[in-house]
Amino acid sequence: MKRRIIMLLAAVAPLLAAPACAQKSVTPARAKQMTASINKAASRVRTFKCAFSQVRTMKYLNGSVTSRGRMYYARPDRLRWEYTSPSAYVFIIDGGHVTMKSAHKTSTVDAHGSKIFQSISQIMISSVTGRMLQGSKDFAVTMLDGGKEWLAWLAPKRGDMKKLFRGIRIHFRPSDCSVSKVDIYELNGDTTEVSLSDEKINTPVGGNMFSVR
Amino acid sequence: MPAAARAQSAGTCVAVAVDSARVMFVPDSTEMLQLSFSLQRKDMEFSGLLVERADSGRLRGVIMNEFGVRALNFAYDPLTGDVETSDIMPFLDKFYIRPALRGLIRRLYSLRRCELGREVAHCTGTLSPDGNELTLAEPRYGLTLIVARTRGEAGETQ
Repeated sequence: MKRRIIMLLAAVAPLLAAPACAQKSVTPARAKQMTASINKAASRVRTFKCAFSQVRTMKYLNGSVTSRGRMYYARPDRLRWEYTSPSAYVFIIDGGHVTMKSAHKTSTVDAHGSKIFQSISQIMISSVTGRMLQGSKDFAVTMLDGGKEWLAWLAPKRGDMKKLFRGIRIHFRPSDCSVSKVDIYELNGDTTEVSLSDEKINTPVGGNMFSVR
Repeated sequence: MPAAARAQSAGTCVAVAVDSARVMFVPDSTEMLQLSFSLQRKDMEFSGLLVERADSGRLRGVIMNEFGVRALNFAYDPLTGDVETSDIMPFLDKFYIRPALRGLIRRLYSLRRCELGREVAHCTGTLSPDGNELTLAEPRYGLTLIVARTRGEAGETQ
C-alpha cells in the first residue's frame, strides 16, 4: 500500500510542480518514442550556438531578475556559457577543465577532481543538447506532451542533487526536437527559467571560443 | 519615532531612508536594485549578484552566483544595524563564517563617506573614482567584498 502511494505521488509530482499549462502524461511507449526522437536529434548536433535569457524568480524578494548572454557548444564536451548583462561572466568547459572569468578574477579548475563541477558540466551540456534523457543515472525522467511542445521532467535521484533542486523541466520543439527552454525548480519555491533563442546548429564555432579572451 | 520605524510598525511598505553621509548602494524606492558582487578569500572567489529591495523600513537582499544559485538571503535593519541571514548555502553555513558575513553586510550598508580609506570595525572601505564600485577589506578573515552598480533588469513576480 505504502509503495503504491509513493508510486502515485511520484507519478503526479511533475504535474503538481509544473505551473499551469496543458500537459498530458504519455504512455510508456509514447515516452520511449519521444525520447528516441530527441536522442536522434541530439546525436546529429556537432556544434550549437544561441543567445539566452535567464529569469530568476525569488520568493524572498517577491520579484525576478533577468540575465542575458550567449552560449556555444562543440561536441563532445566543450561549452562556453557567457553572461553579457547585467554583469560580464564567462564559464567555459573544455574537456576536463572548467574556467571561470569574472570582472575581477579568472580561475581554472580540474573538473575530474570535483564531483560538483562534473555534475554542473554534465547538466549544462546535456540539458541544452537533450542528451540528459539517455539512461540517466542522476535523474528520473518523465515525459509529458504539452501540445505545442514536449516536456521532460527530471527529478534528481542523488542525495547531493536533491539538496540543490526539486527538478528540471526541459521544453522541446516537437518539429525538430530541439531544446527551447530549461526551467530549474528549487526546494524553496524559487525558479530559474533559461530561454534559448537565435539557435544555430552545426555552424562553425571557433576553437578560441573555448578559451578565455 | 522615525518615519521608517512608524511605517514598519504600521506594516506598510516603504523605502529605506537614504542617508547621504553613508556610501550604501540602496534602492531609492521599493523597486529592486541589482549590484554585481564578488567575495574573495585568498585564491577563491564567489561572484554573482546582490539583489536588494527595501521592505517595511528594512533592506532585504539575496546573494547568488551568475547561474542563479543562491548563497544566502539577508535582512538589514538601518535603525538598529541588525543583520539576519537565512537559507545560507551549506559551504558558507559555518559558525565561523556566518558572523563574518553578517559583519561585512552591516559594514556595506553602514559605511560612512568619512570612514573611507581607514579601518573602522575591522573593515576598510574604498570607493572607485567614479563612485560605482565599493571594496571592503576584512583582514581578520582575509575577506574582500566588492559590490558595483550594474544596469540590471528586475521585475515584480506576477
